[in-house]
Amino acid sequence: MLLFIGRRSVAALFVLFTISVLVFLIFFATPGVDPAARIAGRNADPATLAQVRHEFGLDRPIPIRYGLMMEHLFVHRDLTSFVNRGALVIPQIRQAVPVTLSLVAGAAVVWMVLGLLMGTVAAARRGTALDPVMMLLGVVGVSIPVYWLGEVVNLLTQSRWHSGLFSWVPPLGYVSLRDDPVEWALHLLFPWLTLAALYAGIYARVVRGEILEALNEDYVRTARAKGLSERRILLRHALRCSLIPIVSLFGLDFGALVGGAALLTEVVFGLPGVGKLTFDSLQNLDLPVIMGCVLYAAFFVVLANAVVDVLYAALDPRVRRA
Amino acid sequence: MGDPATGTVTLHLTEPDPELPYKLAVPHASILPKGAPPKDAGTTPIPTTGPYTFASYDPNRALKMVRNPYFKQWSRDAQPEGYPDEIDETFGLTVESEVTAVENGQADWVFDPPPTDRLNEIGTKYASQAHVNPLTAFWYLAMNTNLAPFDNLKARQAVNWAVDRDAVVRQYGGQNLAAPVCTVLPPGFPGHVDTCDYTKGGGSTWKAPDLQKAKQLVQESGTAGAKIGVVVTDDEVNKSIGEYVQSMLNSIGYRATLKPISGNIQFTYIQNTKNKVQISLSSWYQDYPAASDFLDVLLSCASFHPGSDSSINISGFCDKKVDAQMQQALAAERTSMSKANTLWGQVDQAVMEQAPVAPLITPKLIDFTSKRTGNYQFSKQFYMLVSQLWVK
Amino acid sequence: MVSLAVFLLVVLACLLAPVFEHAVAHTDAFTSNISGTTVVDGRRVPVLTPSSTGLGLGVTPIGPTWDLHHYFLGADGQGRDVMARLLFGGRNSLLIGVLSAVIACGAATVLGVAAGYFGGVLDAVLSRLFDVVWAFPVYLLAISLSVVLLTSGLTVGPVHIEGDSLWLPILIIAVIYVPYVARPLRGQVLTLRGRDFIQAGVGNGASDLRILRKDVLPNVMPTVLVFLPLMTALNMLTESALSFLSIGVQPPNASWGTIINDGLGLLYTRPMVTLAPGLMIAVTAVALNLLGDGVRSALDPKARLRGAA
Repeated sequence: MLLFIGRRSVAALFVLFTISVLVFLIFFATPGVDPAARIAGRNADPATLAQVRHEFGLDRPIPIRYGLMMEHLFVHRDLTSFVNRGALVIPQIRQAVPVTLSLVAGAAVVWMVLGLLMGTVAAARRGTALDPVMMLLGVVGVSIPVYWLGEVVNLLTQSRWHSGLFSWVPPLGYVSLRDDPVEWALHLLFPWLTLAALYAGIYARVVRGEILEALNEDYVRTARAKGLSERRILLRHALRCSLIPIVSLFGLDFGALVGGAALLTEVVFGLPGVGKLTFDSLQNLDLPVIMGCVLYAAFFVVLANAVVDVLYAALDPRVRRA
Repeated sequence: MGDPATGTVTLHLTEPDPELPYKLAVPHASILPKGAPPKDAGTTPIPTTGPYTFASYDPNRALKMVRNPYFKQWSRDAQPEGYPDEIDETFGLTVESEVTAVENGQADWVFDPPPTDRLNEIGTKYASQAHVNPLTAFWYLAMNTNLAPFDNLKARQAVNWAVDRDAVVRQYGGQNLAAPVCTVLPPGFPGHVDTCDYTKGGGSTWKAPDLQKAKQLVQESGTAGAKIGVVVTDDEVNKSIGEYVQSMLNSIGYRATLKPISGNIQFTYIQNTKNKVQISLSSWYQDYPAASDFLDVLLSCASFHPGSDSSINISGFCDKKVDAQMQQALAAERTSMSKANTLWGQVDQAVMEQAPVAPLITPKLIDFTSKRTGNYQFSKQFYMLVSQLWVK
Repeated sequence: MVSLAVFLLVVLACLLAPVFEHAVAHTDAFTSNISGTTVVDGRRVPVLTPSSTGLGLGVTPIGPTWDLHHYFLGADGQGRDVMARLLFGGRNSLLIGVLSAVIACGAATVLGVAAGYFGGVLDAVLSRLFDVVWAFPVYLLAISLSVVLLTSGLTVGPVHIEGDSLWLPILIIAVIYVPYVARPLRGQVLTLRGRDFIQAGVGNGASDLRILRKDVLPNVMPTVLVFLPLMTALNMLTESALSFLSIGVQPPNASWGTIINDGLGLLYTRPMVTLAPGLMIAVTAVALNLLGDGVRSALDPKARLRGAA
């Protein structure tokens, strides 16, 4: 088991390293991104340009530049942005994390509750009209582009019905939980619902499928034979059993979202989280920040993958050999 | 040389520079203490003079300025005492939310230009809070004079004839926010003379495009059917104008494609000859009110650095005769500014004959302030004077 | 079956785009018409109206006229007919969705089956490759590629892809979703490999190719078939997200995502430009996802829905 965890960690490190090299190479292969002229300002003379290039180490060979950047990021932890000079990368990410966590955690609560509820109801009411309606709702949730839903929600809450039904909706942006918990929740309410609409449907379908499968298993039949009520079987046995795949699915999704996969939602609702930071740094082609964000995001994706793998391996010895 | 006894500063120049006072007064010129580091200081401010001082600054979140306790007003015209006790700027909202925040009285001023679909609302419901001022600036199409098809004079002239400056004005937000232009020097700028070589029906101001003439010139130039990439930034207004230009180029016989790229790199991208940009949309806003800041900076041989990201002569325009005329005008500035400005006006016309650029519009700036602010003042150099605002 | 019918209807409507453009709307979906006029209720009106009240700021395109011949859904910021662009945009969205799904599933089948069947070093290399692609930030790749390729195009050997070619979004999207399909296929093949009938084949000295063709492929095909419509829906959504970040289909060409992006600048005055393509995406994706469901219950493998956050 320890060997498996060790192997998995080495693989994860390899993935992170490859990604950082790829990001670096892609960046410097992109024409027009050389930050020297942008730092030097408009109409800078060639001497100034050369000075800036030297000052930022941009005149050195690419492998050395890569090494220097990694050294600043991990050893000195003082990597600074190319665009907002003097702005350190690590504190920027650290400031953005609570925003992303607030968004993702709140949305996760909403979609887990909705998903479990819808999935269980659909499975329990199989054969009635409620089941296909629930599942159709789920499909609709997955099929709507999330950024578009967000823009439509903004249109309604911020403009069209802002003077009536939605007059209590605060302007876009983020208020920290510590400053004002009520405003925090109000600002995040619609982002939560929008993001959750996407995932609730997926989870409801998975829950329903797993429950229906579990209901065919032997132990459920035994429970039935013992005369337990259908409700008790559903909730105590089938639902509980279906939670294992749900939790692993949740781990993967949550890891990716915390890493910044909620980029579109954050951009649309003006939430200054990791996704928005990534997006802005991409727009600015600000390599140090891009690198920080990308490694941060990849770390969570890889971590979630590894944790789920290890958990599976712990549960199922066959995986370890694979 | 500084002299503390008389309180004077003496500058020694290697050659006469009539524009020196302007250069000292540009917003990005500051007096620094002796021993200030000769490099970018990032977010650690270097001391200088002024009525306010930085209290805190985080480039991604907010800037807070408070009164400078050591400040003494020497000259009201040069550096006046400010009204607000504290100036807070917060960053990170979308423009749409900035506008909404000012409308709802949650903020006092919108930094970015308001989005086009909010303009009508601002101009009607909030007209008393909107301030529109002309800028000494111009938006233009830079045509690469060293690359086909625009190494051909007739091809460049065809674009100047064909481009519907009214359409561009509409894309920018209507005739109260922009005006069509035909010259490099903006209207009202030193040296500007009303002339228009490229307008239907002739005359000294632009009236309408002449597509027939443009198509004919394209045919004569033998460049018809050439492939052209139009490089613009990917924000709403620029992309919109770019789409129009692409469509226009197709209608006069070219095969154009639009290449919108991130606003943060477009400006350096189009300057570098290595990127082989044929035509691009760009703009120039004055550093100081002197004709040389447009003509000499943008279109002289000295501003053209092939292979560099900093080559502000985007067209790569280098004409010996025109360059000599510019030198003459610069020399004339030492004796008579008005005579020099007449010469700059002639340079402008000589440049437009060669058509390395197609001037499109001169923009106006709209400042949108909250209900509670007063004493709005505008300077062509510094734009809205934040320190002079009153807040109730 | 309703879902298949809806999907085919959308496809048909989009295929008829040129007919609508020329015979019905008499317009050009790809040419700016900023200073043009049109007819509403028998009167000639400008397509883009400058504001004339107050300070007279801003220009507003014409809204939906609900007249198929004249700007049925209104005009966009360039004065082009939104309805015509919606149909043309659908062609590109569908084309990108379907082709990238086919490519992704095809590549994933080859790679996933190879990794699962041959195991060893090949499996290790491919699995790490999947990990890298899986954790790689798609948007960075897309933005960088769009700068490189938009401006200079891509030349691989004798093949040259222009910057505004649809092949770029198709290939980018196909590549990023290969691991999504390849990983479950690899797992499936891994299990198959241990089964008796394949072991028997190996024991009989049958060639790898024969076993792959006769025993492995038929067993993984149902999974691939279920993935196809699901991936098409997912890829369409991804394409629209890329276009929303203005790194997908390039103007004046259109896709539903591009039109949504064009419409965002008009969201407060002319929301229809954004609403219509969003609804089209939603309807098409629902149809495809339900179609995937249908195929699944007919064939019964365990492919799952997924969305793009």
